[in-house]
Amino acid sequence: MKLTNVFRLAYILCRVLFIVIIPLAIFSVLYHVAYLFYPNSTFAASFGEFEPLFSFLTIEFQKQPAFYLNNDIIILSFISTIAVLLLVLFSLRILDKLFQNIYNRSLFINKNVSLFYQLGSTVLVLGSIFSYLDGLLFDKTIEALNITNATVSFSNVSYVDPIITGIICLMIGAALRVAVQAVEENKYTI
Amino acid sequence: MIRIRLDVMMAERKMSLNELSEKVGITPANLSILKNEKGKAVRFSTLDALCKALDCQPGDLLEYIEES
Repeated sequence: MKLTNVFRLAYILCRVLFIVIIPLAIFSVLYHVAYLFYPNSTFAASFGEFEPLFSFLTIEFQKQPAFYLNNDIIILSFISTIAVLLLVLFSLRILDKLFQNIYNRSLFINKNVSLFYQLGSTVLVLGSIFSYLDGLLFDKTIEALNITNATVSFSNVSYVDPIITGIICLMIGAALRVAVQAVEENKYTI
Repeated sequence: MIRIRLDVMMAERKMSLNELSEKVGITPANLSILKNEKGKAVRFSTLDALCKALDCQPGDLLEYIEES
């Protein structure tokens, strides 16, 4: 298989995932809206008990803890969910365009420079917001756990990861800009 | 700015663009870009081939003019 076909496969995969994520995003938004604005309605009850969404861990309480019904927690979970959904949708869209450009033309074009900048900014802003809020929710949930033979503490520093990733993407964009300039210069050399 | 005096050199030698293109191995389209000063850079190998084909020095092909 030619290497270029990998990029074709990648952009098709990004496009498919983008379409798959949209209904999930709508469901998550409706889920939070129901608990936030119509907590006692049958609409909210149809979603079952409210549980904030965590990225890496599932904690199932025997009885729903009271703080789960706190409006601040629901708002926090809502913002966190919106941040992660926007992050995933924007990233997939940008990667779709990037891989399509690489497949159809080349990596070394000016459009890809701005795509790397967009990807970096998206990961930096939305990624750090999501990671921080996710950590905050997780921390609050851990506090509600009733552990008898151990103490659990959680350091909410995972937001550093998307900050570093975002900065690296911005730096790759800056480096690519120089490379594109060199390629463009060479292209017009006779 | 740098001016290309390719048209002058070709006229002096009564050489057509196609003829020069065959001698230097560069497409007429690219030679035309060079002749009309639309190109951004010239390779040494191109300059070398042009000097050989036109029997001249690089200074005969390139001229510096101060921009007003």
